[in-house]
Amino acid sequence: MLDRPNRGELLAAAEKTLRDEVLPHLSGSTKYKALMVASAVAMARREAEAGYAPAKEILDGYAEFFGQDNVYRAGMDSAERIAALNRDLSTAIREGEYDDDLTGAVHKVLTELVIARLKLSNPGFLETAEYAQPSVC
Amino acid sequence: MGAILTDEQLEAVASWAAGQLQADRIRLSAPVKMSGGAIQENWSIDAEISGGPHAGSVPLVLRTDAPSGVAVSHPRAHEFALLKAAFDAGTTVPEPLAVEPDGAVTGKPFYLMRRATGTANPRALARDAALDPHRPALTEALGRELARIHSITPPRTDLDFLKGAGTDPVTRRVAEFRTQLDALPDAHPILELGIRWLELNKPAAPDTLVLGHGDFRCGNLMVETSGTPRVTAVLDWEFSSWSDPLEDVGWICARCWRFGADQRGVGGIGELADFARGYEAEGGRALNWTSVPYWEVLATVRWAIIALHQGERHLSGREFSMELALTARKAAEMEYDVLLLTKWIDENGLEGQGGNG
Repeated sequence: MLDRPNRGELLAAAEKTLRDEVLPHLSGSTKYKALMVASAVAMARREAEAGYAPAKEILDGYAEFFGQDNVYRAGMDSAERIAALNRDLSTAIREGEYDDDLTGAVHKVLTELVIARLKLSNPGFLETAEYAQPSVC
Repeated sequence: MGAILTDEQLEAVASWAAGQLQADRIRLSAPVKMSGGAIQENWSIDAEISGGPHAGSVPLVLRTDAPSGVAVSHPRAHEFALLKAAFDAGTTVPEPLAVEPDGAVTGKPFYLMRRATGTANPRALARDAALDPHRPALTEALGRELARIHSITPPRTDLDFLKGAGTDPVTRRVAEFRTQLDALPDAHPILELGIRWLELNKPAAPDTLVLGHGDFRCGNLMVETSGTPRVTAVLDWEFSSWSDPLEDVGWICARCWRFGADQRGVGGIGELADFARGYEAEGGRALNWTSVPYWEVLATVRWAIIALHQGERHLSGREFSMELALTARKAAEMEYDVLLLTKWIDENGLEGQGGNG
């Protein structure tokens, strides 16, 4: 935790070595596996670099949606609070509480939250959103 | 049968198959594991058959359970019945030859089918520029294949294990999705939103249910790409059910199965208009093609839930897999698509909504 390179820097070095120096020597299923490893390392690196910011972004989004007073969960850390809020919202949606506005405010906050997650898991995916149109005749 | 068939097991398969195929004797080559299949294993085996109706050199596939199967997939015997029904309906599938449903020969049920030529390479199908001149014809051919599958309708005693007869397909899927979500440790509000939206925007039930393949997408299509490309096999029947014909259309059209060629709506291969032309020319009923985006929402929700369950197989410690671990994180992409699609439909509408016909 205290020494450098820190975890983000170590993961960045691991990813770069894997991509630049290991992957070119591989082929077939071994290469495919190494690509998966590189992808996993990159995801972990982005999470390490981002630190608490994505969790804060998600909690802030929920606070704006539900009201600040409604998102506090005593004794929970941020991951537990997000999970609890996800659970509450899931139940409410399933029970029809947002039926009149499914593509409105609830849709908007959930879009912001998934964008925060995609920035960690696959930022490239967000850039291709313009192609996300359905298939039409 | 563990990682590979032992010599004794292979010998047992050979003598069992000789009986099934009315052969005097069958010699089998050493099995080679084929790629793909998180749920089933496929082994490539060459058979030398002496005597009987199949005498000669026959390239085979032996299909059996992977160490960890998924509860919603059909047992091998059912899959064999589906393959036979599809083969008889003129669908391009590997000819099913013999099924061993009891696990008495190798310890696990399996069946043998003729090995199709061609490759299942969805990325190449979606991205290879050399295919571009052939895309309309290939996409039309896919429409024809699906129409042949959909010519199979209930009731069918040979397929009486299939779910969905006499029920509304969307209602059934919505219930399935919720049960599957409830089996996961965490809640997923975007998928809940998608499911509720599907429920509230449900099209009219179809006039006729058809055999839905359930996993009709490029990764499950074998295509011979040398010369004029042609479909050589529609594979992986383990998710089929009686359904709305548009469910299969939405599945192959959903962006998650376009493999990066997002601008081509049918699996990254081609255009929906070409697909529809092939479907209707093959005697497929006229479908309400403008409601395909609705079925893309259903497909995207479904794949997201499958991805989460695949990830859970890894996370639970039941099955270590780098691939399954990454698949779980793909779910966010489908969740984003569910939101984009529902928004798109909200803004653009679905013309003539109301099932098929």
